[in-house]
Amino acid sequence: MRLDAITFWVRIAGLFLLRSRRTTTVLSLMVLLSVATLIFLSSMAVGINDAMVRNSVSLYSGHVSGFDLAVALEPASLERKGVAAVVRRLESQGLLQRDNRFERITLVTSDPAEEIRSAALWRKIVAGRHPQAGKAEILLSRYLAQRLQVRPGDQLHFRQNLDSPPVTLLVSGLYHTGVEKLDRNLVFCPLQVIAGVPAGWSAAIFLHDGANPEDIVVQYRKLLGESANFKTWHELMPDLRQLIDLNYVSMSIVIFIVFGLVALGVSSAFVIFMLKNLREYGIVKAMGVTPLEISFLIATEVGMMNFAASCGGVALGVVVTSLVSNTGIDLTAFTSHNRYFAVSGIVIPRLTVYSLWAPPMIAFCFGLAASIWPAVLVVRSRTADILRGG
Amino acid sequence: MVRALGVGKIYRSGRRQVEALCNVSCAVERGTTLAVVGKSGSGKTTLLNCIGGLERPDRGTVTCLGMDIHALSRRSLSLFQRQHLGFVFQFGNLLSYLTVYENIGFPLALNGVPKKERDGRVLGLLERVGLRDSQQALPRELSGGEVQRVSFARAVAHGPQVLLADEPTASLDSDTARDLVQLMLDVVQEQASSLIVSTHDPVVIDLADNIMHLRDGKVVDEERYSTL
Repeated sequence: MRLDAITFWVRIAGLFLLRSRRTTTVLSLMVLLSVATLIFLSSMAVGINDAMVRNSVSLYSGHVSGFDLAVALEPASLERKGVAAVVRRLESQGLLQRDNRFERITLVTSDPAEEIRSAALWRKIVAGRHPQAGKAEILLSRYLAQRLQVRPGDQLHFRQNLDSPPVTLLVSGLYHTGVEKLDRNLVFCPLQVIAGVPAGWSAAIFLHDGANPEDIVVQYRKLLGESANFKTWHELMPDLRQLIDLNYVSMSIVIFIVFGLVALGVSSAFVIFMLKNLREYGIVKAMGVTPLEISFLIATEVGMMNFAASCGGVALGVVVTSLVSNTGIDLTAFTSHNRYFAVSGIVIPRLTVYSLWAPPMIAFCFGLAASIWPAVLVVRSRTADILRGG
Repeated sequence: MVRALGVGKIYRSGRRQVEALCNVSCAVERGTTLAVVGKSGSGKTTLLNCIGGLERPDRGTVTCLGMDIHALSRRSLSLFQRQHLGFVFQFGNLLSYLTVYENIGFPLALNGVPKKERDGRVLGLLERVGLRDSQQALPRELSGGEVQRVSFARAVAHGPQVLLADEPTASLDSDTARDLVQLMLDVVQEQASSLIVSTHDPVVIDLADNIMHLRDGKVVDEERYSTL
């Protein structure tokens, strides 16, 4: 078809839609609301994934964890675009003693102010408070406190092994995260409280929203060499990674199923609309419009309607998502016992390129598919039959 | 110009078969008018549909401007119809979503007539059918007579060599019908087209060159009013 012919048919399709106002509006509304709903749902799915990641990494490990870093390496040298904070932690193994009770623990020393600013473990304190800088205080899990039969304000002794001299520490608080790995034998205390310099330090690197942890690791490996031991949360939490992937897959399936159903509804409505207007297609056939032109006309009518409705749907979806993302949706009632929501049950929907293009694209494709049956019906029917039956 | 030879058409509905046309033959030369006359259900519309390529006959051939139109492919038949044929339907059959102006311009645009020329021809036809003031009206805003006049203007806009009119005056009062028929005959004469019109309107029958009577799908009588 030549360009002027295409322009002519597009104009005719436009007039058809414009002057069949009521039907066009009803059909468009179906598509518009479906697209907007799916954009919001997929941004909610992204928001839930974000919340799970945020909850999981913000509690302790950060988006990227560095291990065995040289003591001379300053945390500031790991700051890059996308990095929100680098928390230096020194880890040492040892024993906690209370009377005749001993527990093997990992003691993590770090700057309390930096911990509170960057990590969210302090929010999971169930008794007492976070240790303060320069004070010989420790924060331990509720589980460990029960094992050692201590409470905030009690004293404990830390020793690196049975032969080393004990360091007396005050229990400042107890925490409980619901994450088994953290709730066992991890104990926190401020820097410089324990004598002796460990051979290396660990880094918990927290990123801004949208920053890619893999990119940050690549940059660190460029800086410190390929052997630098950095791991993203993807590697450290494969279960979370799988859960997020599963979420995306199930959301995509939902989008396809919902649109399959919507497309069925739209195509049924469109077929009814077409049958109602079948006589008009018979008239244009009688005037010598070729099968290709009729198919193009029908596809253009459906395509234009879907395009306009999809644009409206995207706009509505963006507006609704933006409004909801200002406050987020509090799902604490459904997440309070879930370890992936240990810090907060608030889900903030987030728009992504996928959530913006997938629903309108699917609407457009399904809409075009819905136009096939009416087009075939008109092309294959005899003009006289259409005019008689119309 | 138009020749139908031994045309037969049977409609099947379940076990029932209705012979709509049985061995009908006719010929219409350039610049002449054939009135196909008969009662409702006599096969008039079926014959016009077969001649215009809207319906495929079960038997016989239809030759239009030397082409066996039912031997053409779908696309070729469509292109033949858009260039050489014009239809006036019983109830106008205007495109409801186009204005009067756009309806008349539709076949011209289909035939690739440039916009300037198209505008001139549409306005000329609107003047001729007396609807210049209604050019922006939609079909639903027109009376039955106006719809038929627009339908006629649309049918002749691209200067077809064969004009097929299926009971064009059936829904009109006698004065409006007479005006329309006179207009049709005038334009057909100017364009040197052939007109085949199915009717039982005495006004049309009076003015036609040739008359063919159909009854139950069969030709029962042929009259020639003027020499070919």
